[in-house]
Amino acid sequence: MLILLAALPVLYWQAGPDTAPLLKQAGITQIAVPPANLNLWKNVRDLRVEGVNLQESMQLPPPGVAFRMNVASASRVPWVNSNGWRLMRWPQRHFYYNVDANTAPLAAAEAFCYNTLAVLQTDQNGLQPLATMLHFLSTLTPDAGDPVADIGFIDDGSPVDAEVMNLMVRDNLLFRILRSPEPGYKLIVQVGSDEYSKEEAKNPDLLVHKIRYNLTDAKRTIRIFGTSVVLARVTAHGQHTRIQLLNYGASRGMQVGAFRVHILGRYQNAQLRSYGDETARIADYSFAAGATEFTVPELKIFAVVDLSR
Amino acid sequence: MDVDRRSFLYLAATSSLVAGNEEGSLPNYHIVTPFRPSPHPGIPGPYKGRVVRVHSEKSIDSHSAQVDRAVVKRMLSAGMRQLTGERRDEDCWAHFVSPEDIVGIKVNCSGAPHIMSSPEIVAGIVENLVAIGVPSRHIWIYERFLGQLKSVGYEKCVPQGVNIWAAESSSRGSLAGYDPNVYVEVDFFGEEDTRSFMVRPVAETFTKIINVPKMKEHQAAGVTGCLKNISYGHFSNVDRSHRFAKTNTYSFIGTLASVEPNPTKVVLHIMDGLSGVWHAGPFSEYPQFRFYPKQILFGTDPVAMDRILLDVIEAKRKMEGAPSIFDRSPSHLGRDNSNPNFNHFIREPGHVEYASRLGLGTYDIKKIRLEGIEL
Repeated sequence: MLILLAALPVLYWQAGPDTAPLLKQAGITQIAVPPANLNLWKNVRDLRVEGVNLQESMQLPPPGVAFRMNVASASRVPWVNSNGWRLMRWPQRHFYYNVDANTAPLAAAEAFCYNTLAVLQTDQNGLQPLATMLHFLSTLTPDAGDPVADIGFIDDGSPVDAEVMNLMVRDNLLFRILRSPEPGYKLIVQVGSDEYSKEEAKNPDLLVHKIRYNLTDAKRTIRIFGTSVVLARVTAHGQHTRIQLLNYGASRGMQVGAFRVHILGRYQNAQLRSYGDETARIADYSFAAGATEFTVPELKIFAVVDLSR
Repeated sequence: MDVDRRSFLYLAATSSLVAGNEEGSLPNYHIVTPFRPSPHPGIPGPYKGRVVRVHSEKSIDSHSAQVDRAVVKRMLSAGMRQLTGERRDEDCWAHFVSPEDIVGIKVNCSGAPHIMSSPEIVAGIVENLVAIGVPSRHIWIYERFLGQLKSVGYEKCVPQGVNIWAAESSSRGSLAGYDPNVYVEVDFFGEEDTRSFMVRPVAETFTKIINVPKMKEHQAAGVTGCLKNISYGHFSNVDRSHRFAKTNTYSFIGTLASVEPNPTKVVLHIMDGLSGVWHAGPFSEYPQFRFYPKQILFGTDPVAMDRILLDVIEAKRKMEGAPSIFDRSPSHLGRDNSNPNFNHFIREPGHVEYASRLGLGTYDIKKIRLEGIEL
């Protein structure tokens, strides 16, 4: 595996250099190719090319939502399929998505959001949507912050822990993976401990609700109201905090309408950058009980809110 | 991964499951509103414990569901005069609304296009408001969902300029039509979205609200009348209260209705009982469950009016041989509610009495003065 040229996701392209005009027309400026094809591309101009061996990458399922209308449930919210926990569990890995045109921009945003190295394979229809998202991502100021976590989660690498992390990501419960308990977290969770037994973990949903209740909603760094398909990642650096918002409904063409964000801390300034709507501005900004709240008017796929105190 | 099983097990392990009609097990509601109660609230208003019922056999054709607008106009006039004691219609309406007001008319369209706040009644209200000097542009006919609202076509029977507005337009789920500063926060079953926000113009725009509910049974609440139309009809994210057979409608309806500025701004209730639904409400999927009480109720006390509604629905169900809305037997729970013996939920008609304990009106039937007029 070569070092990817930048921290942005990159299109993985197996066709030959005769397709270069197609790529350029779509707005693709950088690709990854099989190492064996690298020489074929050496004379192509205006495209940055690097070799990537997919066998060294972990393939990720397409992100999105699934509607389980045939399953009676406590909630009518769709099932969000996020790769967040995988990207957090293996931060040093390189990842690979094989996604269609509907999902390619969301997959690119997801990889970017978790600051991971990823390549995306898509078909001809996916080139332009992907290129548009990659261009948007390239215009964002680099994220200098560290992930904000309310929960320290001691991951033993098991499938059970994987599912617990998956559900925490889906519920916007911010956590960091630890090897052993560390100070500085509102809650430490270790499956198999007295508080979170392996017996309880047989029902991960129940366990994650218990984690939420032990943490309490009041202590959660971020909460989102008005949508069930938007997941958030929060990073912070000094007086600055960045919220990245991913609309997993985008995989089904669902644009999310106005929703409310509640984040702990009092921030005087906020700037929204929303994919597909450069004019979007946050609304109904307010402070309440040690927190800042605002409304994001809509979310096509991905948005970043930069906050400063 | 079995979603259903997970959720059920979670519920079985939490106290939320037992939330019901016992005070000790009510959900923990957190109400946030910048509005303070008025010293002269609209609810229960000047006519606490009074309900005026105007009945006319000629008001609607039971076969065609055709409403006679002229008869409805007379019913409105008679009801308002009886309620207020005034002799002129203008004086009746001036009890509640002044020309400076911005008036919201809360209709109910969840059973549209068959069962909804009748356009003839809504048009009659608008006509009276305009007659006392309220500019048509200061009148809003509103609902939560635009699709339901548009299916009725109120705009065809009211003057140009009247606003037809819904909180949620083409795609449901946007909070743009809700006020972020007025909400109720409650966790019923571990749901992630725990807030219900108030419809924005109710908080920010209207100075007076006229509530025009429909006379209906409700699968979860027992009935849906005055209280439910200004609670679930005024807030987002409310259907989460009835995810399971045992619902939280018992306390949620009154709680939402009591959130300021609801009690301050809602000054008049005109319940449309020309037609109604006696089973499988609030929708009107099954024609066999529609009925024609041919009446309109008037009052300022939503609890007293809903108490009368309970009797109307209960009497109709008894006549049809259907179980009482107070029945809580699990044997009557079932997915097929095209059969009037079955229902998806345990109904909570006790929500009306619960609302009385929040100061929203009179529940005791002995203390309610029902004044009937036959036209």
